[in-house]
Amino acid sequence: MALFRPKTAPRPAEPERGAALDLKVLKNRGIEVDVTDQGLVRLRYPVGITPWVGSLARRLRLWDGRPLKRTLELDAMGTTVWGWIDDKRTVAELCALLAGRYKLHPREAEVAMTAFVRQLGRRGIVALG
Amino acid sequence: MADWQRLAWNGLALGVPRDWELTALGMRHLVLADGAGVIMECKWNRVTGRFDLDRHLRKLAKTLGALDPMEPPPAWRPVLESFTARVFRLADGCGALLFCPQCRTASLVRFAGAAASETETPARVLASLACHFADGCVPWQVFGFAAHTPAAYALTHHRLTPGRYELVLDAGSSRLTLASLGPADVLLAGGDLAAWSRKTFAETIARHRLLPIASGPALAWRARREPTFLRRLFLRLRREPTRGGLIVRHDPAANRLFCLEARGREPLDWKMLEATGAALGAVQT
Repeated sequence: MALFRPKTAPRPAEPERGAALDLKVLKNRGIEVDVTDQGLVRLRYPVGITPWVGSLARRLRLWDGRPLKRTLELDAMGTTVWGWIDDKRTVAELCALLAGRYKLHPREAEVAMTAFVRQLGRRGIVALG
Repeated sequence: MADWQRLAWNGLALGVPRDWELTALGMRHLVLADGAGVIMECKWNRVTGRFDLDRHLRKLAKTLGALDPMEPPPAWRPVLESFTARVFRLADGCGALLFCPQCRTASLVRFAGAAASETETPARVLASLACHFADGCVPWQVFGFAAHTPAAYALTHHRLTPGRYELVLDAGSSRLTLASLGPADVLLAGGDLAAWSRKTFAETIARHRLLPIASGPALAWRARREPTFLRRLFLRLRREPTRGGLIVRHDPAANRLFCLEARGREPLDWKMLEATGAALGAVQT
């Protein structure tokens, strides 16, 4: 008999490559978007805090309970791709746009785009749907 | 052949249908897949001693599972004439173990699909297989990146990441690093090729006191004179190469930068470097 249940829930199965590429990239509406003087996009996104860290920070008067935000500044390519994300385009369409705009090999564009979307997804800036 | 593409990697070249995508690449190993999954796998190596195909097949049976030797399908027979070959059937496909007596390369080619031996494509792929080349150079052609390198240089390291494809080849005391970087318009934003190479290869340029010399469409960075004995001694004591050179080229049509960095302990063969640098390029996909 197991004394403890596993703390982490089993991860949902990841979609197949073809199915993942057909998903639409959706922007999080709660993200603040600025444009720097150089024309680069700067994103401010909320950061989740674990309850015990939050309560400790509050007791120590280090945090007033308002949501914390972090800033992410995209480079020139990231800014271009951010402009293409319109909640209608799929990952595959964004890959094709990237390959066409920068004359990349389709596979190179796909790897770069999926890495970019994954990075933004981890921060809760975009989601796939 | 418009619907076919050429692949060349570390001493092996072959033609495959355009919809077969390279999904895994090792030092002497490549895996291709189509929409349905893995369609072909190829492994190869140079053999120095005696090579017994039947003994090797028995060894392979332990890793690949049940492996039935079979007669080569009629379409494969003319193709396999230049090799010593054994053809076999697997649970989920078929394959061939080939040995080229001319260059002593042993290759294992597997095709997925129960009817693989009856279709025309595997025969065409095998017909295009080449393991030695007339000019004595080794061709490279993957993911739109193409190069030709002297046969004396062997691949020691490779990196194929978005924006940077890099091959490192060694030949005893000298080393060549071939790279394709992109997108060039992003990398060169706000500067020119000389400024970009000065920043990117700052260490090599400073160590070997290189100066830019424009030769044709490429920018060659060469030392004005041979390093003195003391300089060479100083670099050797620091376990650093005593000679270095660099060729950087911008291909606006492909929107990429091609770089060839050479380093070694002997004087560099600039004729060879210029030929290798000129062969570095992009292929339409």
